[in-house]
Amino acid sequence: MCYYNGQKVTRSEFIQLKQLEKAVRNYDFLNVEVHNGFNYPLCAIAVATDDKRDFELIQAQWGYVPGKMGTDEAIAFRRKLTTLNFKGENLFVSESGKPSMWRNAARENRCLVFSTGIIESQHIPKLGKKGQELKATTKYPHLVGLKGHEYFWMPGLYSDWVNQDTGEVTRTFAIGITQANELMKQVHNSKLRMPCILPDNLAWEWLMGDLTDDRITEIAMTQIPSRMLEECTIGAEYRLDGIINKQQYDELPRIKQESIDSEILDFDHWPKEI
Amino acid sequence: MMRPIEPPFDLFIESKMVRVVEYVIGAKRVFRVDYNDSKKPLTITVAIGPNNKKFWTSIPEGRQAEAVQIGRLIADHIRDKQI
Repeated sequence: MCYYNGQKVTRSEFIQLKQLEKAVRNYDFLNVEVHNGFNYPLCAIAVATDDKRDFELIQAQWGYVPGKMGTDEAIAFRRKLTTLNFKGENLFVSESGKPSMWRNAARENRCLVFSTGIIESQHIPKLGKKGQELKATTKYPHLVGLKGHEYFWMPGLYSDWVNQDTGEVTRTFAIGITQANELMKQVHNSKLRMPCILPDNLAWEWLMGDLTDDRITEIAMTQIPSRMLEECTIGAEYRLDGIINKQQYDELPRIKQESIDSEILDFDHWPKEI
Repeated sequence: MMRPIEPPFDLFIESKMVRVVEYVIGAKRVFRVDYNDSKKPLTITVAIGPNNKKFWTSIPEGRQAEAVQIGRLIADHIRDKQI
């Protein structure tokens, strides 16, 4: 018999608690309200256990780096390719028709990325002296969440980056993005893309399933219907301070409801009754 | 199906509000308690003693009394929501 915190525990429980200590010590992503991808922060991702019967929540660095690279090489790689996200439709074949850099991870290293909300900016053209629209835009950040849910899951791919300069191994990941729904077309109007948000059954399948390439692509392209999302505008301080404050912008046109009401999505895999 | 993680919630402890966030690490439910001041956040979980008797404990060791006090409140909060 062993003791933990003055209480009697079995040897196996003692070992489990000691392992937990190590994991908790490494969890410095806790209590962070906003993760800005371009700072390559540590975030919470879920990976399947070896027997694929359960999952564990671990921390990983947002910004996918494949295989072995030195520090400078990894920085250059991320600058060139911006591997914060992957496109669901390009998991196996890239836009130029070549084999995609994501294909092996899509088959072997799928994970789920935990989030309580995403921030995307709406770009509104600035006006010139004569009232004409300029190329320059003002960015209005929106916080988008899932109605009635404190958190949601997005499909991710991970890679253990071996830093050839230091020998350090860092788990890195990217988030799946898909075609924007009608709400996100208005919010993220510069790219017309949105993160893929998965219902529980597809999140489980993405993580645990023995899937064909077609099925992997199908899940990764899932579009959440606009009616399930809620959004509000927030202050620009989220970017530097990491704090979210709701903020109204009187000059910003309201989100148009008509297109949302008549929305038809190509990849809506969400249960209809929700 | 995935068991839903408890959404973050607030508790009053000795007339102060603390923030509680649940995580799953391995197969364990872990709760991080943030005091919103200079006091170090507390991480607690339910451990299993002899005869399968469950008890709250701090991770790492050293804050057992706090773990028991706050653990009881967390359990009450979750139980109240289920009724």
